[in-house]
Amino acid sequence: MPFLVRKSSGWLAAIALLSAFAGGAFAEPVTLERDSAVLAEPRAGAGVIGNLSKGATGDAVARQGAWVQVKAGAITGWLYSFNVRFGAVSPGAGEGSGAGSVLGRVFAPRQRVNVTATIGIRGLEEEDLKQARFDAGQMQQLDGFAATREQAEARAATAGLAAVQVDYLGQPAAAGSSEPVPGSSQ
Amino acid sequence: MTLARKWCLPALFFALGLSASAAAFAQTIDLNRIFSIGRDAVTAVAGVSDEEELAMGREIAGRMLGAAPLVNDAALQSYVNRVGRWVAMQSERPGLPWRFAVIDTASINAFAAPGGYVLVTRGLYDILDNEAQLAGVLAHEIGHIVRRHHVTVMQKSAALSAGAQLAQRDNRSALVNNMIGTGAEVFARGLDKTAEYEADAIGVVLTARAGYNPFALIDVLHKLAARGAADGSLALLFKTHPLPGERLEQLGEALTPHLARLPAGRNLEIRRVAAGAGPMRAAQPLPAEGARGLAAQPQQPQPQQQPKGGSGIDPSQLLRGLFGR
Repeated sequence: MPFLVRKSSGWLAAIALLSAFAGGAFAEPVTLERDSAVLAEPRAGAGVIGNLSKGATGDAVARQGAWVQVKAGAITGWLYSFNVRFGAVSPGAGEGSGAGSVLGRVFAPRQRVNVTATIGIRGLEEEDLKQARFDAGQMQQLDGFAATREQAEARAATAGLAAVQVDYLGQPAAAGSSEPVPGSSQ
Repeated sequence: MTLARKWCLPALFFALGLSASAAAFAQTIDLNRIFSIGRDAVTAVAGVSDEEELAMGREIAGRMLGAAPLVNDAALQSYVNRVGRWVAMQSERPGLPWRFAVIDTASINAFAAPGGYVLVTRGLYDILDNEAQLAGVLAHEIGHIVRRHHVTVMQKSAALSAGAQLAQRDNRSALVNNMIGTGAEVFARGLDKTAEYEADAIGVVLTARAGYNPFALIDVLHKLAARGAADGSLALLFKTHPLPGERLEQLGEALTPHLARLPAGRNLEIRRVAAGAGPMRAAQPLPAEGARGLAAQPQQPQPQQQPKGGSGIDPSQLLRGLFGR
């Protein structure tokens, strides 16, 4: 029994680690946004182990940076995350959050709350916001929560964050351009 | 000052890409009565001083909080401010009086107002998986503020309606209000959709600079794309803003050539909203403030209602949403 418990704990730990690695939701359905090569590793230039066509579906089992590990039929490999959309069916109104999908199951309770609350969030609709009045009391509260540079630096250090030198990417490509992305087989 | 005035007007219209006829019309306008021009090169080009930007942003943020108050979780609000300030410190405007908050609405969105105000809805906050995703959302908004996207749009519309402003040129506060109010028209037309894509690209970089996983913002966009248009909490977002799928396309194209130089970064656990936290209430009534502070002469108390169709500030169309323009 102690052995079984220990083994079970190990499994749970492994699942927890993999879940954390995946960045949250587990085995989410994905749909290919474009024809894509399936790579052996999560990096540009990795070996191609298969190809998936636009509209193909699979399950995302892990994420790493810009990469998603997808299991689609007999193939399991890495896809550039921009090449997929999460959700079990083709793009359309709301299917991705349908109750039948994993995402739907994950988000269903929260979504119901949101839908119900839509009536209550009319304050954020354009017309209602026009009626909103300046709330000085709220602004005073807001000011009270402001962080100084020193507080922000101290908190970042505690969290193990260090500033990194990264240049801006430059301007996004113009709409309509179709530069190939890693793993794209088009 | 005269030189600055003469130079600035055509420069402004050139920068904004307005038509020659509009520029000709505007040459009769004394812009120096609308903006404080010529303090330095940057201010002259931008046309709006930091002080004015801050005052406008404060007014807009205050009205937003009038519609959706802070979530009543002091530890959460302090946490978001520390995360946000740290990310903002990686930008070109680290010294702004940055303010970050989670506001009490189930709607999924995030907003930036000029001068350093960033508001994230509870609906969005609750679907974030980790702190890097929060940083990514905040970084996108910070990008709008750093690049002064809203100010540029407000200037454009203010210039277009400068004739109306001339009638109010002795009342600086009214002028600023008018500038903000008319800015709403431009937002409604959505003239600068590319500002969203730019803010996405900036957001990725600021997130990386702060030590987080730079792809966290992309994960958030994927989440929104997956939720779809039928989700009521996304109604406002989808009604007025680029679809997440389009933004993923744009960001993918911008990001792909630079993939190799982005660090892996950290995700970190996110602080959750305290169970049962509702809207925060002020301890006592306070006098109104905001853009009225710009007025040279004493102002009347904050109006209780906005005049319909007038020059009132319209936060719904001025706040630059995470998924908005």
